[in-house]
Amino acid sequence: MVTLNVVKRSLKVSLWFAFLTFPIMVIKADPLEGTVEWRWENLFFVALGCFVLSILSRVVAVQQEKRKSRRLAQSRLNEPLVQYILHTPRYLYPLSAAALLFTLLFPFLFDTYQTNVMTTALKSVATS
Amino acid sequence: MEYFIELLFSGLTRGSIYALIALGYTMVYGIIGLINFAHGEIYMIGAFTAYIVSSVLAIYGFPTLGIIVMAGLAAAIWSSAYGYTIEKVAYRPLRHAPRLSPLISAIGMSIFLQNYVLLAQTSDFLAFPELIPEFEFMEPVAHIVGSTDMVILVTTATVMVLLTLLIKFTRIGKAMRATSQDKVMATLVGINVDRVISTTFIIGSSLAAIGGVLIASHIGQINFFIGFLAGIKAFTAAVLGGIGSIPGAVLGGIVLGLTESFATGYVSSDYEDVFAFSLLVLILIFKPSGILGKDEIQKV
Repeated sequence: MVTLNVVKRSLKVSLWFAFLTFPIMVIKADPLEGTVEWRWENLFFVALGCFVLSILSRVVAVQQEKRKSRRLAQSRLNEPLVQYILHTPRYLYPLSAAALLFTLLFPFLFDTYQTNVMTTALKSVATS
Repeated sequence: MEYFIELLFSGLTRGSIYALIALGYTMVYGIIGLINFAHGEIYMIGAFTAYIVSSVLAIYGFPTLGIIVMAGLAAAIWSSAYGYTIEKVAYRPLRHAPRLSPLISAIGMSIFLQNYVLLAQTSDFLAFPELIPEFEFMEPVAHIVGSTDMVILVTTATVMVLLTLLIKFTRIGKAMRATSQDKVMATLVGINVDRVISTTFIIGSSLAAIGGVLIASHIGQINFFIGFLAGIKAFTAAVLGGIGSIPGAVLGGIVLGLTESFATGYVSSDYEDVFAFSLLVLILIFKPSGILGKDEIQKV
């Protein structure tokens, strides 16, 4: 999509290059013959070429950025479920809260033997 | 003795020009660690811009002093603009790429600029107008040192002093030194590193343009290829003095100019380049960091 901002920036680029190439592209002087040739058409072609190239490069950059973000979203969907949950706060926070609640309620729901097994398991996870 | 003094001045003149161009190489290397192979072409563009502007003004009947000022100014302005644009287009996008990428980009830019001038202007040698007049007060010593030599020496010395003052005492000079020491730290203390790098390119390019105008006026002819050999010689001068060191670039330029001049005068002009590059080989064998360069330990 070519926005007004892109056109403005491309115009600036084309003006800059027109200025830059002005003496070498436009003027051809021969001091021995005493003649100066002004090749204004070169300036027009430089400005036009730079304007078009600048717009094209900006449009391509925007398209690349869009494709990149789309690919990133796609790769998120393809990753393992656990990774996906860990990277998505929408699922991570409620699940973490549920896990915490389950851990706190565990001694009240199960007997001492199973609580001891779970405590040992948690300890070994925490120290590893 | 008179012949020796003549060769001495000729060498100093030559060396001053090499030093002016070498400063651009060394400043850019000091800041971003890149050998800007397109720098010789910036010098060539400076000479061409001066040629075009001075020819047009001479044809339209401008006074000589006005032509000198306008041609020099135009060369400096346009060369700086080219330097700035090259940095922005060819080097900035590759700043975080492997070191070989900007180097290849620089070589590509050099070839591009040569061909651009070849196509837009001509492949022939063009007679550069004599911008510097013969001064009357120089007549008694004209057989030893010409007015052009004297103007080159004085201009170069003035530019060197101004550059030293700029680097040592101004805000941008301090920013340049900080950036060359540590770019990340410079950014952390609020220095706009991109702007500093652009400024370095602008200063280096305008110095090359001044060198281009002076040498073209001295030699009397230019073509699209003059930047290549001048660039190689200036690069040699920068390496000789210790690349990255500003006084080193000046010293390297002077040493190279004197070597060439004495070799031409006492041996043969055919061996001018042989002596210059042999000196480089010797310096690199016995002191790889150059005359004023510092030995640096590189982490593997």
